[in-house]
Amino acid sequence: MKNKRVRSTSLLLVAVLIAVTLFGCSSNNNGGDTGSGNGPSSSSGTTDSGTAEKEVKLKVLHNWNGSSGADVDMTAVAKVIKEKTGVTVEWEYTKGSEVEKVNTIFATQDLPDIYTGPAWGGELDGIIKAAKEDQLVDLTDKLDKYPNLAKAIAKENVPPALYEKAFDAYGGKQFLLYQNHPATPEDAMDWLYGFYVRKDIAEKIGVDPQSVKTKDDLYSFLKKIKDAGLKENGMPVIPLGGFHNGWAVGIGNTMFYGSGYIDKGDGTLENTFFTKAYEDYTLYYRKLLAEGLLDPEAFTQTDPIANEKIKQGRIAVLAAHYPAILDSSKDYVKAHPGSDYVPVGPLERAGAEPNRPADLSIQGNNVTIIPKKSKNVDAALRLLDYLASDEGFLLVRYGVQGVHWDMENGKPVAKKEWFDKFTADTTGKLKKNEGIGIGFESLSGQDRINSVGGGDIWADQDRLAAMDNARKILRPNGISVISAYNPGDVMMKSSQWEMLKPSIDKIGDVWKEAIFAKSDEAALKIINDLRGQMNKTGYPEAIQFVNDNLKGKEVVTMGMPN
Amino acid sequence: MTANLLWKRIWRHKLFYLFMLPGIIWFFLFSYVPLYGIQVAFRDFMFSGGFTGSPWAGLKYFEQFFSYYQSFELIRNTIVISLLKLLIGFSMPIILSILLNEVRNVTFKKTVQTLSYLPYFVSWIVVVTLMQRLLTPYGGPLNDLLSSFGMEPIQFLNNTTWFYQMIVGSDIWKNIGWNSIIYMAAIAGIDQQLYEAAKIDGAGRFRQVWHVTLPGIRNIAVILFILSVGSLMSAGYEQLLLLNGPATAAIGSVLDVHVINSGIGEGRLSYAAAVGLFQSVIALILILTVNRIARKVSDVSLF
Repeated sequence: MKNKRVRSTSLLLVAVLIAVTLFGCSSNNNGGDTGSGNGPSSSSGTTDSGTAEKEVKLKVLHNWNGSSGADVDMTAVAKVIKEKTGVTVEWEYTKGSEVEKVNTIFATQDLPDIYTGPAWGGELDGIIKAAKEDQLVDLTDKLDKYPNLAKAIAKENVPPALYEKAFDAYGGKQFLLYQNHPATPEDAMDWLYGFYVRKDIAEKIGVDPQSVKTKDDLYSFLKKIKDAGLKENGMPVIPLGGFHNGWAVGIGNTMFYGSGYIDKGDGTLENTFFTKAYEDYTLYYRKLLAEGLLDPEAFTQTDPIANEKIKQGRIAVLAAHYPAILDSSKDYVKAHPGSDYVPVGPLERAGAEPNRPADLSIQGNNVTIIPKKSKNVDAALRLLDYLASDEGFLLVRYGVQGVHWDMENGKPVAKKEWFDKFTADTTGKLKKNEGIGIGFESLSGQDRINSVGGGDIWADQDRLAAMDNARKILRPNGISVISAYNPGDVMMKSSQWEMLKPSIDKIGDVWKEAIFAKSDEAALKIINDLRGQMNKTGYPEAIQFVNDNLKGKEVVTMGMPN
Repeated sequence: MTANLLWKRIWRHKLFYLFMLPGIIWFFLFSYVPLYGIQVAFRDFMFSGGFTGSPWAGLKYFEQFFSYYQSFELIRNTIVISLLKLLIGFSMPIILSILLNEVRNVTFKKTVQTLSYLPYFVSWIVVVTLMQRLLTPYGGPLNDLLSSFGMEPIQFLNNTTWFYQMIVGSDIWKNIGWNSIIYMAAIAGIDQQLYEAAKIDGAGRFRQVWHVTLPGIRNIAVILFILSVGSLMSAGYEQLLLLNGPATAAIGSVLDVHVINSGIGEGRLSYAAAVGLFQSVIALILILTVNRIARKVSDVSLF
């Protein structure tokens, strides 16, 4: 009897183990009520035209590392979107590398109904590969029904180089949608990349940040900070720091060379990596690091660690774009008035006349695609077209009209109660829980924040004043929008590209490795080793291809980060 | 034995075989089914074609790896780190289990055992974050301690001088307790009469360890050594991904991380598969070689 009980129990245990193992292997764990195939779910919504639309739940991958959404499933903004389009969005926000995410979703075929992510780098390369390999919905014959989407990818609304590389590269077919490109010049965003110093620290060491102009000035400035032996919370103040993985401490490169490709003087182009200027740039940073002027952890740290250092007041000079610096230093500045980060410089620019405007790439930051596996392409397009309309744009940027804001004299005006609530909430969660500032923003077509939105109604006035002040200092000659050809985009079309790309992708890593080298000679050896690999994998032929193709064309040789 | 007899014996012990079933299913699903993916190393992987429909590429990706200017460095770094882990880390669990076996206070013994197992269950990301916090020269407790003795702060992480110590040390700390379990079990299985006999022969504690305990766990140690040699071409990607940085890249870049970076980071799945396959083939050769040597030298082998 006892044996029988043991046997039965054992059998049950084994059965449960097998069931658990098999269940764990099953991929059918999405749990959401998403229906099957192309079929929509049950009840219905109503569009503007009054026609009934079947309700659909779409999964959208927002491929921006660190982005986040609301804590609630149905925000006020999402409710309006559902009413207007019949679509409910289930968000997935990327935590980690965006490039890895793109490659993973296509390799595993675990695809969302809509993908949206960066319009550059490896992320865009992955999307272009997917388009060429027939993974995406061809939008060519559909766009006439969705005018807002068609407008955003019209040739005149996409930077020429990007248009040629990613939008007009499939034999006349259209696969990609494009967002956040400024609709008018007044909508263009200058992120004000630069070096920013804590005002109180600059005062303590007796240096006017605007007197720092040259690379030698910057070095002396950082050295003075270090020599002052400042401490915060009992810990030494680090002269120069940045954010995750070294972003963007390397922006001092503009003091050494104009852009990624330079004119050798005979009208032909060369990748800057092969030049003496690049070596000087590397050795300058090596010196900063070796002398303890640059945070050695800057290249391996995460954003939370970087923010912790900033919140503890331990970084004297930060290199990044100004909005990121203002966000991360907000708490410290609130507790220590007068410790705001202010611009250093403007610093010299290699090869630029003193009166030259800042050369900036102004472009949209987002591409959106609909994978062929999307469960409802029409619903996806309906949603995207609505979000790209002026109404949709204002909804996702400002919230619900009549609830969060009102239209007064043709201009959106924030409701005071919400403005006060949002301003008091330093976490930004309250705004997100209303549905503002979450993934929908990335899908809202061309950026019309000034031309249609009349200027960001939720912006903190102090922040706007700080940005204006920084703009006056860093852009004394204004800005000039880059529209010329980027040699890097042309090189991608060379037959050597497949072999060469891994070496080109390594330039950033090799630079970091070189600045940590034990000596200048060792640093140069690291650079020369990669140069050798690039030459071995077809660089000479590829740059020849670039020079042949760009002969007589205007080429980007001056640029600043943006 | 005829097949009929074999099936009869299996049927007689069906309950035990049933217990094995989940393990067999697990191995089949996660270790054998994915083997079909190896072919991607010989194909130009395309999203549309997948593993079986992408065009054949021959040995193109193997050639790419061996012509890569850092391939030698990657192989060398992987072997050096793995060897250090093997040579230093392999003996540590044996020492710990012997020391624990000699402890007579049961409460103390159980406490030490439990504490030594715990780090195994902590993920590498947590371990590395702890290391960063403890070892940073900017206010880390260890450097504060050194400063209080008038010493200069030391950059333990991102420093080639301390890199191997950090890698091997953290690996031992994390795995020593877990790896000692099997030796504890082997020691528990040693016939107590052997210890009694040794005592009668006048053996002290050390002699008992030398002549009874160590021979008692020799077989299991050899088998575990053979298995460990199989991972010589794999230095541990999670640990190296997190602890290696630009400052230590010259000695810390290893094949495991290279595979992840080129496969998922750069989208070169065929290339990554080729490098991964190269690692596996070398590992298989190493296991077969060491197994053969072990069989000849000590009569203990896996197969």
